[in-house]
Amino acid sequence: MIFVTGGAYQGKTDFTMKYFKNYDIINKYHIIISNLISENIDPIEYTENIISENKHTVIIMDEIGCGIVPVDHEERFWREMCGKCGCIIAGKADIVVRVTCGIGTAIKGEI
Amino acid sequence: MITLITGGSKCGKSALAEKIAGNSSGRKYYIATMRPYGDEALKAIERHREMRSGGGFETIEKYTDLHEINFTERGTVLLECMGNLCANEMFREKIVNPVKKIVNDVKYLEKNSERLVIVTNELGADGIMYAPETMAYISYMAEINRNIAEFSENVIECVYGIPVVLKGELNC
Repeated sequence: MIFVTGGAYQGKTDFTMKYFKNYDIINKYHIIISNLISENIDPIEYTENIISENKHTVIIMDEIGCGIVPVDHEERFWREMCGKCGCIIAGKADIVVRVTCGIGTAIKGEI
Repeated sequence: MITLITGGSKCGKSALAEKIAGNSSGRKYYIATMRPYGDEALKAIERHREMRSGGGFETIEKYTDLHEINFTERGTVLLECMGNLCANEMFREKIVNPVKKIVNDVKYLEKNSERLVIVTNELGADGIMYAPETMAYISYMAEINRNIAEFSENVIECVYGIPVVLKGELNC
């Protein structure tokens, strides 16, 4: 499994299409986490299942959390879940790529 | 020797910091800067205590004025975290610029330890314009980070648990 992260609109999807075009893609995982929370599904458990069932897959997710702690409780919870799930995905991934300005840097494994 | 660890929220900075600090022999001190107010703070403190349990850290709760700490012995110091310390030093009866004081206090800790590991936060990348006092907090934090990074031996950024070496090396 491959994990592609980085700030919003940094070119993560384009990068993935270019370098990992033969893989299945799960995009915008941070939005999926938000949806799971509103459906009362535990994002951590869901994430653990997703990564054990999808080996030939790229998961794309925004890098969340490099800002001020949100005042709103739900936003704070979502942000925390993004961090925790992101750590789980990155921990299990063979390759982790961080994309900035369209440029991908492998921070774990090799492309 | 200072190792500065930065990164976003809940991205595994503490676990990495504890791994680096826990790696050393001798006395280990943990400076906790989060004030124990409110449910979420208490939960966070409890979670961090659990993470550290068995690691052999002596906890020093100190929310401001770190130069007042007297270490019985030189050892490894883990300071967690800069975000809370900066807010505690900044938001007093009136708002004060805490940069110089905090940088000096970090130098005091460095002088009195064999190894200093600091957990800080990356705050400036959510693209939101906040009220002036919050913008000041973001800029002070960035200034503190830049200052400390300059005289730190190692600077590591944590991205969803993956350490990215920005300066020096990863010692763990």
